[in-house]
Amino acid sequence: MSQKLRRLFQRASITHRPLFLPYICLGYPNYKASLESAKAALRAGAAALELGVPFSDPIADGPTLQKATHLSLQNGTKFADVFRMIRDLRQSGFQQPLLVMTYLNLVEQWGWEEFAGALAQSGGDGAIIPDLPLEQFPFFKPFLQKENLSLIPFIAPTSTPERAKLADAQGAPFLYYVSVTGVTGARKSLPSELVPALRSLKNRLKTPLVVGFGISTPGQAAQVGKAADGVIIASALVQLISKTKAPHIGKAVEGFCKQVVKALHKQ
Amino acid sequence: MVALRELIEAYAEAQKDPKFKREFQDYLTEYDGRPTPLTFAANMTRALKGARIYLKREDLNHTGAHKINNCLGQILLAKRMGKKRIIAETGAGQHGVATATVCALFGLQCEVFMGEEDVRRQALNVFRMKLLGAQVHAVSSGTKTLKDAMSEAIRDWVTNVRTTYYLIGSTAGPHPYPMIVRDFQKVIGEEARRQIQKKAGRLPDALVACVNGGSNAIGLFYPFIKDKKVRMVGVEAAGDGVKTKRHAATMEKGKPGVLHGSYSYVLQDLDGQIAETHSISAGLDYPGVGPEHAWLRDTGRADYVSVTDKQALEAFQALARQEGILPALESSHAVYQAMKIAPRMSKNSILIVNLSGRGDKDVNTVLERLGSKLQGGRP
Repeated sequence: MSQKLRRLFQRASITHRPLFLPYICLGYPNYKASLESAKAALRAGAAALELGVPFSDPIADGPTLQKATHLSLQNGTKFADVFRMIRDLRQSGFQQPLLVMTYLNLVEQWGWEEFAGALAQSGGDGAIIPDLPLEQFPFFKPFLQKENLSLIPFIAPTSTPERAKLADAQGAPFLYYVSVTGVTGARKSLPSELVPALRSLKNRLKTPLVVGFGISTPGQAAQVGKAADGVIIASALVQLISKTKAPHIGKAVEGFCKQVVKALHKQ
Repeated sequence: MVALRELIEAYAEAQKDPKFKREFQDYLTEYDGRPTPLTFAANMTRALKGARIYLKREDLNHTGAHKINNCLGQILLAKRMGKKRIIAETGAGQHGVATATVCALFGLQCEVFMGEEDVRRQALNVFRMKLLGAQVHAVSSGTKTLKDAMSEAIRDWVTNVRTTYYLIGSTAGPHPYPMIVRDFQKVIGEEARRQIQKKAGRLPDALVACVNGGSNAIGLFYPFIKDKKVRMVGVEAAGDGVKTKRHAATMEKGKPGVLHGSYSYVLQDLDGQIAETHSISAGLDYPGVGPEHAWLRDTGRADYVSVTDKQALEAFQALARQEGILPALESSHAVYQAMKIAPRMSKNSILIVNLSGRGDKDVNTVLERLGSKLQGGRP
């Protein structure tokens, strides 16, 4: 697995500072603006980035990400653009871990070995694939392991204790905890059972927990950060980008990410 | 995955329960009207001067297509699992109507996801669903057709997983769905097998069925898989032609890939983005195909061919005139293929065509295409 990711979470657990992992939609509203957003998030103190590669049929995503990914595809975004973005970010000197988030079919078409090779070569650190079930990890994880890359398992509020254990046993740098039953998208409030559920999981599992789906404000991030090792914000950031005129996107993203990081550090 | 596990377990238990099987059988007989006849198409056989053509009359099911078989099975399963809310995806609306029908019968809440484009094209079926007490959600994402309706149904399911049963209409989606749908549709082939043995004293030489997701075809094929001498032919929609971009010939033009949780042939571009499809028949526009069909193809047990819009229309008219039956445009694809291969077969050979649905729902589409060109009367 990616040593960079492992060290990142080790440090976070020592300092008790939950990490912020924003999601950036590749090619939304266009390549250049998405690269600017990524840079801005990293400048603002994002611990790592989730770089989303659009798929025509994103079954885990709510309306905001559906619209953004659809538009990105219409603009001609190709899978290979994600490697280009990672290279661009590395060339600009950013050291933070970069994770590719995409759907299984795209990786299947690239081929796992080719995907892992290209990801490692460009300077990426791992992959998040929401429609890849844990049962399939033994078949595909080795391709990433060979290149020292991580494959991130998901767990949900409906996951049984056995399943959470199976995810825990994958040796991943973190588990992606889905905060709600449902799809991605900003929500007004988080389920009241979220923090207790996280605390109970933290007691049982050794892998750090990062929480995503439905978190949209610095306040919500701070609330979740009390019981998690990290927080992912996707739809709210995409919404912010959609409301902002192109030349100001970087600044808006940086401002928002700074607020989230600050809120998380106030713990 | 937890929901799928729950479904796998509930289904395994149901299968072991003789009461479940009996109940399913009762509904098939008393409500659906099974067994459906195996009609000898005497006029068409005479006209083609080849194999004896038999039609498995799934068009005579309640609601007019084979879809209801699966819906009755799954609604009993949902009831057993204690689910109060049923969701379904639909393309042309046939599966939506069948789902709304069984939900009315069992007094369950029913919500159907349908692409915005299909809602517009199939207004009558939308109205039928509403009459039956279902709520119809127009899906405006992606291509606004069946695959997007299915994506939206999956999104709803993961959101309301604790209360909701997702009733998938074809041999698509994640395991165990393709298996469950096959099992509830295999009654088609079981009946056909018994019926032809009674009528002809032997098994048929070939089976022909249209394939998109592939539920009617697998229903007919499955009980014959071990009968190696029975040839099986699946017919996909070639739309404007497989050399154009407007078709739904997944087996012919697709590559292995993952769509909606199953690994099978998928129409897609080089990057793996799912392609748009086209067929004159709204029920044949899913860009994937049931994984068991992929297996039948790869092992050479079944052949898959494709038939264009134009050819399907030709078969639609031929069956109407020769046998007095309006086949669904989906089924017309199978009828065309039968018309093509029957003359090459000997006169004592037997061909069974699955007439998966009736064509009343398609009369408007056919009117648009043929309209003034059509001459009535009989030569």
